[in-house]
Amino acid sequence: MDIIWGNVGKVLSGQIFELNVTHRKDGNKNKYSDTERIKISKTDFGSLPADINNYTKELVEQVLSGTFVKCEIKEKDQEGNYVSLVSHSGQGGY
Amino acid sequence: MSQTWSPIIIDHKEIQKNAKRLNEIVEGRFSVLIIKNFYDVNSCKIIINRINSIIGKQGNIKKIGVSLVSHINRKADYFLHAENNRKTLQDIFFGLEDPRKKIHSLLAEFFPNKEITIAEENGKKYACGVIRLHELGDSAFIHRDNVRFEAKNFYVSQFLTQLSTVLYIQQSEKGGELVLYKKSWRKSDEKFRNIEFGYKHNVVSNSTKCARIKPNQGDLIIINPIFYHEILPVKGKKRRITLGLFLAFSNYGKKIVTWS
Repeated sequence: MDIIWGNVGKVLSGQIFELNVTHRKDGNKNKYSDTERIKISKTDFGSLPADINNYTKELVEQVLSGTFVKCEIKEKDQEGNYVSLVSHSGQGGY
Repeated sequence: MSQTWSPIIIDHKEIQKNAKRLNEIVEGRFSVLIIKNFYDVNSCKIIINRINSIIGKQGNIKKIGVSLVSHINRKADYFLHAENNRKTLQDIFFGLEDPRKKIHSLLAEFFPNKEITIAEENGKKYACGVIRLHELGDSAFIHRDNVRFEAKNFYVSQFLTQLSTVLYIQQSEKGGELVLYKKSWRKSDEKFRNIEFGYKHNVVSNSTKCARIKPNQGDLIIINPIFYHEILPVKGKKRRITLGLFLAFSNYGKKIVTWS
């Protein structure tokens, strides 16, 4: 599975955001540019509802905006979004 | 990078006449405020014995208490763990002057017109203090601490200014120095980020000044943690033990909140 990391940028909808890509797993099959569109298939952010259909743009902005996340990419959909498992990654400090 | 970023060093008896100098830390004109002899050394020794007893039972632990940033995506767990750990810290400080209360009293001297409280959100108190243990060889990569952009879904992220207080309960024999760089975080630095913790050293390559400090047991330091800093590897047998507490405020707000 391909993995990329980066900070959540512009939130486009309740399930789609732009990722400012900073790290790419060695051995990824695909190449990823510095900005990619991510569609959330699942997250580990407890502040978001359990059902992703209940995510709103405002809620995702509030919880994820600017956050450093890991995206495990399942597939690329017809709109060009990378459908991903999105999880929190690491700490920039204490 | 060669110039020294000067610290402000005062004795705990000189706090009142230096009350306005904290602004110079906020603005980065000085690297750190070091308050000498802030906390009783004999009390530090009692605390160390109690911590050693916990280590004896629990093994090799790196911290006692709860840190918000290690719970960014688990907010409910953070408040649960904060509550569960409250008694552990109370037991460590039992019968002694609680250093967290002493820090709160200090803040009241610096900010006489503001109310100082442990942060609360929806009726739940934030964690108050985390003891960090650095053993032989332990260090902390270059990092910055700021919940304003690291933990946006927590109430404390709304405050404009964040400071960090660190009490030295035990200093390492060798190594363990705190190095502060006169460079604050910016969005473009994220490309230097390590996946697990902190940033690569390149992030401070254009920093013009730095400070390297090693306060004594019982000293308290206050830094603006948006400036990058790191802890150099601990050498020698004595572990480095510190108590950390963050505080935040808005210039025009009436309240200062603390958490860890």
